[in-house]
Amino acid sequence: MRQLAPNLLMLILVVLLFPVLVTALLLGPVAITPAEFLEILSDGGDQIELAQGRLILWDIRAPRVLLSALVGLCLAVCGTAMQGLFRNPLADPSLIGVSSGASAGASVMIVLGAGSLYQFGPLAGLSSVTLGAFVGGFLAVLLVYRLATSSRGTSVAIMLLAGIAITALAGALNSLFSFVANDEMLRRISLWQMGSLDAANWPRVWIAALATILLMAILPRHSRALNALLLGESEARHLGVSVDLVKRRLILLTALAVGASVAVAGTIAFIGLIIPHIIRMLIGPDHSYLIPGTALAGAILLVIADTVARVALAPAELPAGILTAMLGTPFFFFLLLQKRRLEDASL
Amino acid sequence: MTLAAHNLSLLRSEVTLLADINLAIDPGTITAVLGPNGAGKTSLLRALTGELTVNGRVTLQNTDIQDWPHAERAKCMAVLPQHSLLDFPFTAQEVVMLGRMPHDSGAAQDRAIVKAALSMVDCDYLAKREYTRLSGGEKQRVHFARVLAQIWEPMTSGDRFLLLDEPTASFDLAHQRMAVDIVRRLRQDGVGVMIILHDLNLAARCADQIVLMQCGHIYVSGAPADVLTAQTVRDVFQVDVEIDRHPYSDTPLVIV
Repeated sequence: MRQLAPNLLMLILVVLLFPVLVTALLLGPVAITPAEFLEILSDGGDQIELAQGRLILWDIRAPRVLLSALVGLCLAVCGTAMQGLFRNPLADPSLIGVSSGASAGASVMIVLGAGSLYQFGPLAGLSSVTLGAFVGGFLAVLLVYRLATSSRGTSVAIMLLAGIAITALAGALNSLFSFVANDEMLRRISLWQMGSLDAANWPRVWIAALATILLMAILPRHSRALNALLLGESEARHLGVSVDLVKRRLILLTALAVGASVAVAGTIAFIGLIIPHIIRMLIGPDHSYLIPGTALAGAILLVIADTVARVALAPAELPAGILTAMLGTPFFFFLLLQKRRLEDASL
Repeated sequence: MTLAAHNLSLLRSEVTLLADINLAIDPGTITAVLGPNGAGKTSLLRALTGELTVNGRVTLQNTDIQDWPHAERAKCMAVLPQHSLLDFPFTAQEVVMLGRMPHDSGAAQDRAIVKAALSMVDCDYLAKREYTRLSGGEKQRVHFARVLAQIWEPMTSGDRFLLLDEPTASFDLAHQRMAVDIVRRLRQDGVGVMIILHDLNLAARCADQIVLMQCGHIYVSGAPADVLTAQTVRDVFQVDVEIDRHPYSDTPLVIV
């Protein structure tokens, strides 16, 4: 049952986003009071006593909060696109192999011990692990896509199966590299797989921003096509959608955006699955509202989760991926139970 | 200006799905396609929509069906498949609104058309209900309304066509009759209709042309009175029947 008018939900989310972002900027092991916050914003950089606050705000917290928002947005919107494309409300961007490919790529780089790319100007601040993850994720999707595509188009069923196979293969690679890794590498691999935003810096923010801009510039134009695709591919064709073109674009776009997200923040579970679900339950499956709605909600949720992760055990930090999974799994069970109850009731 | 099939044939893994099919669906006529299960009725429909690539040519208004841009073709040809995969909680009126997707007629007019299409298939009361909670017959009627909305208005640039795959399969008696009435009204408006049916009498009552298929071939086609004889029905369905005349319409009446 629908509970909200789509426009009302957009309004609520937009109004929520701003205080959530500001609160996230203020909270942390070293709290910044609202008064200090305003002073730092208005100050031109002259006051020595604000130097520490300025440093924390601009160099540590702002990139981190922005990165959380952008990654949350990308994951949630890509989940929406995948669920629409696969006509499966349980689909998730990781289904097509992006996440597992990326984590295999990251493990390879961690174990091979390639250093950081500080010497290359524009890539400064990005570790080789980030790059490895992006390449790994993209390769996995490319392979899945090629396997599922024949002259007759891309088979969604084969793509799902190929995605599962690639996930298994990448998992094996992961285990292999974990096996040969030493203790320090092992810890880095496992931390990376938990998904965490603690390595946030401005270069990572720019990468995530680029992916987000591409995603949000192209995807909303296909929202009507996604609605038609929910009817089935041949019906969508009868309604004038160039199905193969749309599929290709959405898959590439998702691979790019999820690949970038995973590369900068590790594998953060469940945002891509639960956010589209929640928003769809509230306003229905129309993608012209679903895409902006999940974008805002994904950003808000990950910012909140990351803030809790920073504050809960301060000065230690929980990986945000643990929190999203801990929140996500019970909700997922609830959805499954509810679906079963509905099916029982209709028998 | 016709939807026409020229020498269609289709072989899949050594099995003949379609062979030597020649067929024309003219604007303002109803063509009923009959035949046993697996005779190739749905394959024929999918070949006519360009969805199946076959040997031979399908032309829509003298242009090869494959050369039509998807968006243009959708404005003049609507297709209702036998089953729908839709499993997302759109409301019934949102489903029907999808039928307006190919057109740029504006939101106000689209809403009016959706309302009229829903009321035409006797679904006004379902407009705001969730599609996933409807019964099989109700779902089928909502999709019927969707394809009606897709070709609701006459086109300045050409004729309209509607292809229906067993639309009445899950309809009760009243709604079967409703479907026949709607299809007849479309014929009056100049729409070319192709309809796959299992009920020989329903076909006899509404069709101008009956195509009787067997094993991928057109066994016989023509006016209902010429096609539906005791002999052809026995040949194609292996069922003995008697053919009488319908007391009101004088069309053939098949008595099993």
